[in-house]
Amino acid sequence: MNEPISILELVLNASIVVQIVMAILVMASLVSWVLIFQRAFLLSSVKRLATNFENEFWSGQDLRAIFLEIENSETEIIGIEHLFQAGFKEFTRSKQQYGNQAERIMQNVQRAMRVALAREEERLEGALAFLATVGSTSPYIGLFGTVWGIMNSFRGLAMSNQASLSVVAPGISEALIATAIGLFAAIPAVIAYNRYSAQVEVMMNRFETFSDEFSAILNRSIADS
Amino acid sequence: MLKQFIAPLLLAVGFHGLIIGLFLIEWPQEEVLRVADAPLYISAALVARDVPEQKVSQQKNSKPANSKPVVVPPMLKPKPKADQKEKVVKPVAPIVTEPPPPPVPIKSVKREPLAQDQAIAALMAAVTEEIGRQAVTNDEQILAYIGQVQRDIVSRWSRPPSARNGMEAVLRVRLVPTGEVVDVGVEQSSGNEAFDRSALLAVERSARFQVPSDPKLFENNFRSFTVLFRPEDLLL
Repeated sequence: MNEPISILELVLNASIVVQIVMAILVMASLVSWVLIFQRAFLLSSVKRLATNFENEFWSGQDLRAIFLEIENSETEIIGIEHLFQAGFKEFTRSKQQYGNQAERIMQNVQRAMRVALAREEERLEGALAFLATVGSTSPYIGLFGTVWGIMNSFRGLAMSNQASLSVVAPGISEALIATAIGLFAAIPAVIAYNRYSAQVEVMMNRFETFSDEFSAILNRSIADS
Repeated sequence: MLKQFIAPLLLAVGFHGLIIGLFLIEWPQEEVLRVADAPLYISAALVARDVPEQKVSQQKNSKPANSKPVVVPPMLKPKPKADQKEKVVKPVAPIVTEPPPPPVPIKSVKREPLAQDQAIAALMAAVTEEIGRQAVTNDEQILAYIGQVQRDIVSRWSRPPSARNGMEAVLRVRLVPTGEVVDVGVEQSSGNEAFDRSALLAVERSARFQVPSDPKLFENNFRSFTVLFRPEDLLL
């Protein structure tokens, strides 16, 4: 009787609804952490790539050489390299087709880069919606489990002849675990969401700036030729 | 595409496993902490000693009275093992009428009336043994009064939580012939202020003791006496 009840015991003895709620929350927490780690890796690699690429790009190297290097690399083309590749590919194709019609070429190039930009944004923001959902709903899911558990333990209290704290306490304790798990899932998700969406915004600004600069360079090269 | 999720998945699973593990592992420690339960009873012995300034008794009790204990009353250790759990056992405090009496613990004192009689009888017996032939008829009478005073004080003594076994506070109590307390002060502090105060309060709450109506007995034994407060049965 005086033995403390272990959390494991509480979870195992919880009613089925509360257990389902807990399972959902643990899954949500697990998935959101997978995404948190995956986003962290992705964002850091995109950032690193962008820095490296911009250094290379502004070093005055031949654009065609850079393009070939990117095309031939075995790794997936992401981030700023994707923008450059899409823009340059479209530029060479349109140039063959339209010759010196600078306006048409630039329209196509800009359209191609806009598409690449949209793809990249999609890639970077991919999981953020899920993190936002977990962050905003898992406290409510946990709260639902808690309310359900407390409801049941008060029903138990009404049915038992001896109303004592020890009749309701385990039920309430068990129910509160659901809220705890909900908060446990929500807090990292919210923090990660805020952090990553800020980072994605910074990245997107950088990409847009780059695509403007790049199209300016291409435009100049048409005018020169 | 799937490859980039493997490392995050492993990290996330590891992270959750770690947290769940922490929860499951830390519980046994808490169990250990819970072992110490609230004490079921607290008891203590109270010893009172008489003042050294008892010049009169010397004359009365023949010379060696000062060096030999006239009344030696050993402390009663209220530790009836049998009914410890059932109730709080109040200690009976012995009073010593002469300075430093070797405390002889008498066991098996119970609070039930019958047991109390036994206890007093046991106390008497012990005392009689101690003083042997020197026993004065009046001593028994005095002892009964002393026992009464002890019980009065002990029943009103509530020890502070900071009280520990081995603390000793000596209080000097002065009475008027009607038995009322006119003055009480700490003669030797236990070092713990709360403990001293609880002892003072116990005497102050008693307010009035039963004292012998014989003025001689009163003057010799109750005009001014010291009481030793010494908890013995605390858990700490």
